[in-house]
Amino acid sequence: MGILPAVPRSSEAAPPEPFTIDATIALEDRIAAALFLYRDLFASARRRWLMVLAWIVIVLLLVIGFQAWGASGKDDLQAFAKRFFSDLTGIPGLPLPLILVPAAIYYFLQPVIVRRRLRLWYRDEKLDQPFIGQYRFEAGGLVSAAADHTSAIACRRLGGIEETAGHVFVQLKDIEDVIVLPKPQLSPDQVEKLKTWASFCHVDGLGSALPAPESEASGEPNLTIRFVPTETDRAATLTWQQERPGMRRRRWRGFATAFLVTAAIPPLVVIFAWLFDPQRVPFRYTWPLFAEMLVTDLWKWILGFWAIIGVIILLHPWMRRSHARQLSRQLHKRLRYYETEFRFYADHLDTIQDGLHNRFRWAAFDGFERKDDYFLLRQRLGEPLTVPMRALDGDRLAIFERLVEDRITAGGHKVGEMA
Amino acid sequence: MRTLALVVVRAIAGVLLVLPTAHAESVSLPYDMMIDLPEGWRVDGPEQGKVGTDGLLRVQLICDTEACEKTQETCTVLMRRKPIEGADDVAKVRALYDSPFQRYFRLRAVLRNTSLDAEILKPLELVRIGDRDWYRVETDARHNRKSGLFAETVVNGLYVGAICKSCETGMVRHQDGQRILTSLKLRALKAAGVH
Repeated sequence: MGILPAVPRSSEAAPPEPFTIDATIALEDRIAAALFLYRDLFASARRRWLMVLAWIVIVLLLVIGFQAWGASGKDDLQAFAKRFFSDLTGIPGLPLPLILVPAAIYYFLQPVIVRRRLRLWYRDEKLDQPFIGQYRFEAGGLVSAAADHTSAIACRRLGGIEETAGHVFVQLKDIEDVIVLPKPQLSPDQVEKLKTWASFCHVDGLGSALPAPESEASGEPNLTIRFVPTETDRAATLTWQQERPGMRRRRWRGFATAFLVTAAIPPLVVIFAWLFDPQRVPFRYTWPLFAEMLVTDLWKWILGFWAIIGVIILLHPWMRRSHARQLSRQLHKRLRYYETEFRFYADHLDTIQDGLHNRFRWAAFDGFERKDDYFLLRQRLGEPLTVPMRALDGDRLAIFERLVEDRITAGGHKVGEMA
Repeated sequence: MRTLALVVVRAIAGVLLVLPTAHAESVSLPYDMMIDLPEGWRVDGPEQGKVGTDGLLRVQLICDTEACEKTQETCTVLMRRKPIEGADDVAKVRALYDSPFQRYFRLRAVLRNTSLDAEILKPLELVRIGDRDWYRVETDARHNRKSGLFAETVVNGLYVGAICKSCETGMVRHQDGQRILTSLKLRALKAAGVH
């Protein structure tokens, strides 16, 4: 009694009919995808900020509390409470709102700031132009095609769909990407079909046993390499991204802003201290002294701040490397890494993992760079493909170099000639 | 001839009257210092002064003359036991207000000490009073409050300050106070007849 036979829903049992969705993916959709993909990281960064804030408040309250305890005579709890609250709302409590208000503003604005940074990053990387994506949903998986790049993904590499107000996200398993479909471009019928398909085709669904959608056969490749991506590989890509011209430019703009802001801090501190002082000396007597302070003292404080920024600038390359390592560790933990095979052909490059088949026509790339132990194949519409030198043993390196040099040129003129 | 003699006598008498030391009384202060008090002035309380909560030794001077009834003049001499670091007295006086921050807080203190909405009558600056340099500032109080003459110097490495208060409102104020400042000397020098 009470035990019902597990009857799968009809939609789960029968393989869904294949269907296609064409969508224009604009910059805002890509931003939404990045926010969705890294939502856990952004949320934990925000939480961390809240924790730091909480600690600062606790320490400040303790300091004010101790002072009030000492000032109230150390024996009368009522006198202490009275003193504590008058301190809290008076001058001794001033650092509290001075720190709390900007920090709280940052906390509430953090999503906006993250969104803005992403937007700037896409612009810097020239990834802000809309592109048309074609998505074919089949029983065995999903094929996405955009410009010169096609991906065939088996159900066992899919993690189901997630709906938000503006988008439907098709989650990928152990792939640092997500497929984003802007909802305004989807008909209710398409959304229904998507849901039916997704309940069948995901890692734990019935579709996971089916073979991936077939890719066109390509014959014998010119070169095949294999490697398992590691945390270090991820760090190398991050390091490369940190040194992109846009990132560099923003970094230096940030330092310049820091110089300006810190130059303003000492005079502002003096001015605020003066403004908040109920016994302040009238302005007409103060301003000549203030002008003198700038010349005698404040420039030293400013120089002190600048020295600190100088040290930060000197240490920054090291800080960036350590940040890249830390972030790559975090990112690496989120995914399981599969062995990846790169197959180089005259007109395209295939990258193949279990249940994932990417095909890039050479026109998808606009350059390649060698950085330390890595080659980075720069994509026009996405993040670069990283090829570690360790995969290029023996005469593979020479063949690889000849191939990419021949196939990828900065202007892309050669591309497609032999296709 | 009689009239001439009278004029001369009057003139001499007049000179004697305006001479600050004419009726002056010398008062010994702590740390081997001394001042001359103009006529009608006396020490209120012990000559050796009282140490306040700020660690400064205070000697209160008050004036009982008819003129002082109106002006309500008083002076306080402040001294600190701890010597000031520095080369000589002149350098030490100058070092008192090297920084504009120190000058700001000095102005803040003298304005607070005078009254709400007080003005600065004479700016804080180094002036020569008697035979030494003083950092002096004068305040101008609002209605029914006393204006102040605030002066500080260093004698033999020791800090000496003076606060004179008066109800006077004209441009010339604190004349007795200035005389007292002028007369500040080390006792040893006075005994040796050096000015």
